[in-house]
Amino acid sequence: MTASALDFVLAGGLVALGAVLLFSHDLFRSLVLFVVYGLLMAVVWVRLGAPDLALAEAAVGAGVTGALMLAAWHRLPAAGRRAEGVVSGPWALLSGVALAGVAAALIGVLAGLDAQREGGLQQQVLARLPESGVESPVTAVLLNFRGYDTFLELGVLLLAALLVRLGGGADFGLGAKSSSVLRGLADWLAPLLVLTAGYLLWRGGHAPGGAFQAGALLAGAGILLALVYPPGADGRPAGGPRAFARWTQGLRLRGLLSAGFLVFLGVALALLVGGNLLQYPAGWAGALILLIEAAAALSIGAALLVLFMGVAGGREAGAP
Amino acid sequence: MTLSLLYASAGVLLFCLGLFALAVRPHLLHKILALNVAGAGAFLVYLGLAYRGGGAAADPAPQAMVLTGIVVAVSTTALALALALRLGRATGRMELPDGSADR
Repeated sequence: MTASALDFVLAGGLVALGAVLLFSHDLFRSLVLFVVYGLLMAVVWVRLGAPDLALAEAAVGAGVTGALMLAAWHRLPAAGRRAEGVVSGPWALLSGVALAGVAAALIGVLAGLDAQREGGLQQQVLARLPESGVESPVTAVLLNFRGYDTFLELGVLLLAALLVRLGGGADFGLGAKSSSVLRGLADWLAPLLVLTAGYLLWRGGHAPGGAFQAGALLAGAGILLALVYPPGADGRPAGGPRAFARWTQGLRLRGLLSAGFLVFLGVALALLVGGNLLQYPAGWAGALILLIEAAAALSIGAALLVLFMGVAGGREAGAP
Repeated sequence: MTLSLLYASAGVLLFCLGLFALAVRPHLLHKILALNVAGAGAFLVYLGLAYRGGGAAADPAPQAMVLTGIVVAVSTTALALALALRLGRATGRMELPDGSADR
C-alpha cells in the first residue's frame, strides 16, 4: 500500500520532533517535547494497525516515561538544569557523517526487504490461535507462544524496581504544594483508573488490552495520588493514600512487586513436571493466562510506581 | 513509496539521530532521552515492516515484541535516571567525567 499525505506528515513530523527535542538548548523543552513525541508515536501505532502498542505507548512510553523525566528534572540542582552543551570538533563531525552513511545504507537494505517480503508470522499465529486459550493474537503471542519473553521481561522490571529501591525508595506524599481541587480530582480519578485497569485486563483476552496496559493505569493512579497528597506532619503520607502506603510497606510491597514473576515462575515449574516449560495443558490455557495476567498487572503497576517514587523522591541512602 | 518503507525509514533516521545525540550531547538527561528516541526508532522499523495494509491488524509477533520492548525501555530509563541523579548529587555535575582529564 502506498503512503498517503497523512503518512508523510506523521513520519516527517516524528523525525523533526525527534531532532528538535534532541538538539534543543532548553532541557525542559526537550522533556516536554519527548512526551509529545510519545503521543505522536501512539498515533503512528494506530495508523500501522497496532492498537495494543498505541495503548502501551500512550500510557507507558509517553505517560510514565514522561513523568519520570519531569520528576528527575525537578530534582536537578539549578546548575544541572542548563544543558546548552553540544560536543563539537572533528570526531563529532566524523560520527555525524558516518551515521548519515549508516542511515542511508540501512534505508537501502529496508527498501530491498520491503520489496521481497513474505507473509511473516501472522499466518502461523492465526492458525494456532484456537489452541492458545485467548482470542487476541497479541495476547496469545505474549503469554502463550512467546511466554518465555514475557516471563523474562517481568524479571527485568522487578530487577529495575529493586535496584532503584536500593538507591533509596520514597514513601507516598510528594505533593506539598497541591490544592484541595487537585486532591478532589484525584479522589475521583484514581478509582476510575483502577476500574479501567480491571476492564483492560479482562478485555486483553479477546481485544487490544492486557496486563501491561492495565499495570500502567494502576501505576498512573498511584503516581497521581502520590503527587497530590502532601506528607503529614510526621513526614509520612496523609489522607487517603496513607492507609495504602502503610499497607504497602516492606514485605507486602515486595510481595506485590514480585507476584507477577513468582506466579509465572510457579506456573512454569508446575508445567515442567508434566512436560515442557510453559506449555499449557489443553483446556487450561485460558485460565492460566488470566491468572498470570492478573498477577502481572499488579506487579507491573507496583514496579512502575516504585520506579517513579525512586526517581521523584528517593531518600538519601541511610535515611529512615 | 510504500507505507511500510516510509515508516521504517523514519525509524532508521530516528535511530541514527538518537545515536548521534547520545554521542554529542553531554547532559545525562539528554543522553537518556537520546536512548529512548533511538529505541523508539528501532520499534518503528520493526512495526513498519509488520504492517499488513488496508486497516488490517499488524503482524502480532512483532507487536508483542515491541510491547515487551516498551516495558523494558521504561525500566532501564528509570534505573538510568536514578543513577544519573545519584551521580549528580555525588559530583555536582550532570555530565560524565571528561575522560581526557584522567590521563
